Amino acid sequence: MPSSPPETRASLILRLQNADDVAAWDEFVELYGPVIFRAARARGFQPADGDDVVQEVLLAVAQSIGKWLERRDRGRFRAWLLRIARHESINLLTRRATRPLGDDGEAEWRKLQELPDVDAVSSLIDLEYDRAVFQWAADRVRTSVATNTWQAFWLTHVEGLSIEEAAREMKTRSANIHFGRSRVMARIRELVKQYEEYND
Amino acid sequence: MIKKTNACDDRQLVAILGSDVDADELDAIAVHVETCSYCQTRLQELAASNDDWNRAGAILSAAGAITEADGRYSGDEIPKCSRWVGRHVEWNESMVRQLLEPPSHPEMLGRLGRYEIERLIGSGGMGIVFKAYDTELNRVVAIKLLAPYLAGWGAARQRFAREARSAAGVVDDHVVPIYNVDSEHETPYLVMQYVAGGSLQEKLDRQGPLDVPDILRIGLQTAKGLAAAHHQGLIHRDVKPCNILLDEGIERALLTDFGLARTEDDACLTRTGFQPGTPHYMSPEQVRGESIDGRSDLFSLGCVMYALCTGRPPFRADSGYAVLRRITDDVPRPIREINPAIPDWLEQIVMKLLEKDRAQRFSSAEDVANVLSQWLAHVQQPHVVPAPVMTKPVGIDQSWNKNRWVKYLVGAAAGLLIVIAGIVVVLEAGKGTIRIESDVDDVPIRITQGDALVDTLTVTKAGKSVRVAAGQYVVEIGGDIDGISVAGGTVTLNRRDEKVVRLVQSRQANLVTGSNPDLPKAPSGLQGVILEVAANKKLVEVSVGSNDGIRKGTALHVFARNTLLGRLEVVEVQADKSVARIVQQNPGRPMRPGDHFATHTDEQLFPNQTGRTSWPQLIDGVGTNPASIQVKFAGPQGLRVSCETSRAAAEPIICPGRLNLAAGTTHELYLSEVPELPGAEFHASIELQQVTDEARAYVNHNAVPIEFAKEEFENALAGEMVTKVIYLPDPKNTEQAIAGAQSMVISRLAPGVNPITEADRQGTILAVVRLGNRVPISASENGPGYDNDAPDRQSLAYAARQFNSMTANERRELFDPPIPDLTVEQLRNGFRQSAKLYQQRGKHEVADALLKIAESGRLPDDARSGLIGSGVHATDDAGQTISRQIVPALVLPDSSVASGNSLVVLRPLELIYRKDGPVSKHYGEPFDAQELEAGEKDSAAGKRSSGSDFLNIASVSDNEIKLVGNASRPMEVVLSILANPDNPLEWKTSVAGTFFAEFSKSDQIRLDGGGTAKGATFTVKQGNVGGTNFLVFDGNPIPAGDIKIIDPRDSGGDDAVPLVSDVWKATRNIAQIQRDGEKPIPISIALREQVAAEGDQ
Repeated sequence: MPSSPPETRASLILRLQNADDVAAWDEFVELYGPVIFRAARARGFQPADGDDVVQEVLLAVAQSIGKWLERRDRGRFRAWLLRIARHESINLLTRRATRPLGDDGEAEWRKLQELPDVDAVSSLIDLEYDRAVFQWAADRVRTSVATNTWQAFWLTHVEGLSIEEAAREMKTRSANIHFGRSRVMARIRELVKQYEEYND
Repeated sequence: MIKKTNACDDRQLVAILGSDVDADELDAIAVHVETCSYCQTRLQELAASNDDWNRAGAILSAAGAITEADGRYSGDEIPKCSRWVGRHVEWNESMVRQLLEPPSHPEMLGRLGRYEIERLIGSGGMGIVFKAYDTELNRVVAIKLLAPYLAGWGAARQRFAREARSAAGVVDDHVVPIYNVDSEHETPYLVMQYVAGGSLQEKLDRQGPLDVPDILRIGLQTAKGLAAAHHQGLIHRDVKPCNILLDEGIERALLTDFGLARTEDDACLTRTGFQPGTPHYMSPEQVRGESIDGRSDLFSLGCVMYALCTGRPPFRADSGYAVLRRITDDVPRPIREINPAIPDWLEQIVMKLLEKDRAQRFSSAEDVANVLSQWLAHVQQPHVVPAPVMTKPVGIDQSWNKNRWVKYLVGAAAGLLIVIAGIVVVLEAGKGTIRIESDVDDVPIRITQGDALVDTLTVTKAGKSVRVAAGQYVVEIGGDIDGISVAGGTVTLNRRDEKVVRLVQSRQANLVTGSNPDLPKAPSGLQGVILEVAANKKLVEVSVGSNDGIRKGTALHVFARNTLLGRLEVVEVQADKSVARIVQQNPGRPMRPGDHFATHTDEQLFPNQTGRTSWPQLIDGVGTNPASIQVKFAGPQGLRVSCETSRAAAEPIICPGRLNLAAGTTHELYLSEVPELPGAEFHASIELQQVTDEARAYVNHNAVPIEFAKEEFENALAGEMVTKVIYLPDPKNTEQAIAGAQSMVISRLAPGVNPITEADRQGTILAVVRLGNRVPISASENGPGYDNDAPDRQSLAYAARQFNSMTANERRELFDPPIPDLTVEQLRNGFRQSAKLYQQRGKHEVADALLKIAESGRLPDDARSGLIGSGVHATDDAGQTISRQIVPALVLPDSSVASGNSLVVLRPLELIYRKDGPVSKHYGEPFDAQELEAGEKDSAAGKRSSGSDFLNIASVSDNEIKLVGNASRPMEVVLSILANPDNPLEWKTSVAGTFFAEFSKSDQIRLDGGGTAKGATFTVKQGNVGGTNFLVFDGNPIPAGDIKIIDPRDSGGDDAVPLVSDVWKATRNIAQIQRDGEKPIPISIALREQVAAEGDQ
């Protein structure tokens, strides 16, 4: 029986001597779990199977950490994590397509006929990863700015209100909408950039 | 029309993006932006590229949709990955200017109320410290301002206020006084005395190690400050050089920063897990999150003094995490090795402060202050003030290896025939001090005058000083201690004189044959036989003598079939034969005439060994010092590997499946817990990792595989433990041993041979790996791996003791308060209970064995293991505890399975703690016999189930629900699908024991009630996977979406025993998902008393 996540984490903590690496793992799981899950869903997996895929990828990654530790030329743990996770996800999502896990037997049978397209899966993963980072950054910004600032951005850019409509709804002057939405956007972009640099 | 005007200014727009100021405060530019579409567009462009804007829109609007569909990873959840951005902020003057009101004088930085801020002194995690001038009282002060980003955080404000309260309560010359507090200010601050000389850390950085008088003075004054705080019941908790300020000119050290200080009874706050700043000066109990008292500060003071002596803190590593490890596990490098200028007694004082066990430290800060002041007086006026006498033996474990060695030596010597009893020293002493120094620990000494006994004492390596009056004294070594002699012979002591008597280890007793070049070199590879064993079983006559090169003291190793039976030391030599004493032997297989022996060489000693694995210096220049060991293995069921670290300095041994060996402890991993590999080949590979003192990255380039051969496996299964030891040959000094390129030796030892001693004879031990099917020799009783008394290992008393010591850490760490020791009576009941369960499962062989154990109070001879236990703490993604368990188990023979062995888990002893709900009654109660009996009575009376019953959902998927459980007597499992609360769909089945229910294919259930779950059909059946019984409801899938499991407590079922668990949430994520436009379908499962259930129907 494969180890459960808490055990995996515990053994990782013991093996990764660097606390920063442990933190990297935790962040990775939080961020990358949804990536794998969404990619799996996009490939037609049921939610429960999507969970399995997530578990399997994380487990595979966890098991490879030993190999990483043995490498003399190992680079940064974060960068390695992302590489191996991407690889494992693609691997699993393409391999799993040959197993009957779909919504119903026939759909799965149809899928069997189509050879899994590695390129499609890998770009799906990349897309989902970008999305996760972006989503993460947005969440951080949302909690770090005043509600009105966030709303200025959300109403105009996500819900599609015009500047004036948003200003009316929020009972504020339009300059605050202009300022707020751009402040939010600038910070999201900045965080995404930081994140990418930090994980390179 | 978009047009750029003179009023358009990119710089202003960029500034707007970087600030959070409301438009009203930026009126001019706000008005401009509101009307200038160029600036509106420009603002957008400066914020992010068009691509990014588009991406943001797409991703964020899509996020909502996906959230609804999947119900998790939702856009509303904030991912908790804040760690990587939470970096420490360095404050600079221009930043802090913004926090202050404008200054009254241009040369000042700013103003805070009545205080003119002159400059920034420093900043830390919590706050910013300024030098300031109090305009009302005309004095210079220091102001500590809570960092603004923390000011909005309640806990930080509280902590800040607490600091003020705590520090203000302590009035002492050596505590920085607090003048004023403003906790109402937007950013709270406190005003303190300004101490001009800077911090001790700065001094340390500037000049490195200090002089002895300075060390004593600063140590003394800090101890006094601590004593004052402790007197108030306050523990400082963060004693470190940064928090000790030095008053310029008048040589005064003052303790500051009571930010972490807590009162001793403030127990709940000591466990917050908040680990502030530098961990280098934390005490082991702080690191472990245990309750602390004033002696924790003493440890930190010891760290500070160590740093003053050597210029660096005692525990260093490349990460804070590794530092913490070292604090709990490592003995710091001896001070005098780093700085020989430090006197021995000062090192002793510091090392006493650094004792891991707080009981071994000084008992109070006052005591420390007293000792330090006496020494300070002596150091300042050596001719006037005599050196203080160390009244208590100072136990220093600075050289683990040597201590071990000496203990062994003393132990072995007890059995000697040739006893050099009572080496007598006659002293003509005036009034003065005799200082007795010793190479070895624990030498009993008797001082007599004429016929009168003056004193008896035990001398350790720390030495002893004795004040004696004029007269003739006889100093004897008390007891039968072999191999100790006195250097210097007769000593004449003058008044006020100090004379040193040294107790040295004589060579004859030194058994370190390989490592001491002075020893008579025994011919390598010489073999012989034992001719005769003396009636007293202590001496043997052997077939080799001086003609063969044998000398007094030569070590001989006795074998039978390539395993070591024991060890001899030659005590008397003739030309063609010798007499040797038995140093060690396997109690189960005494030596007898005809046994072969060989002189000590590795090849001779371990002829079948895998040999040496070289340990090369690494190309990248990083050393090869092994400081940690990993053991990896996999193998067939029912076997055990145990590993031991022997060096106190070693990092824990780590094995998959949470085997974590701290120095000096023994843990075990049962192989049934690791995935079985094809072919069941057993491998253990040992990896040695290094954490160097120089904060280099760890390396693990060195892997030493330990292979266990097939026959060794068979031996292990047959009950003969196979022990292999890895060590670095030769150097006795650990530091030396790990300093250079080394070769490692892996040896297989005979049963009963203490691997620690063995390796110690040969070099520096690194690890012991054992393969066997019995509980190993206890680490808790006679030191790792050695077992003098051979306790009755079959007894339940032993098993309980073993289990308790094995699980001590887990019980302490996983449960709060810790689960108490398991008693024999509980254990007996546990076996009795388990016997029933296995009986019900049809495992009669196992059941009989268990019953027999309960009745006889002994484990059977053919038990494949002792009582074993492991602890698990499972948490969900959010870090919430799901369960904590200590699971006792035993491997018993079971002919019904292929491996012939079964891992028997003692169910009633299983401790499952869930964070809420009635089941948490198991918490802290390993096994309550009364409850069990009460449960049985209740059962007869048809009442509720007993504590050992449980029902868990093992997994949920679209087409099956797996349940696992236990019922101590016949009960019902009820599955209810509450599509319609008024008319729930229920299926019941009788169960007893660990699930063994009688559902059959005919239990087909159509889920068409309540108009929700249309047309789904379940079949309930039983199954068994991996030894776990479960119930499966399978058939057509439940309509799309997950199932919410509702706790029957919530659904109001009266007699439903609320045992629904979400244990598996961590892995299976049983979230509530709605089917299209419909309500979620709750399902409840419950164990019910059968009587009650029948009454219902």
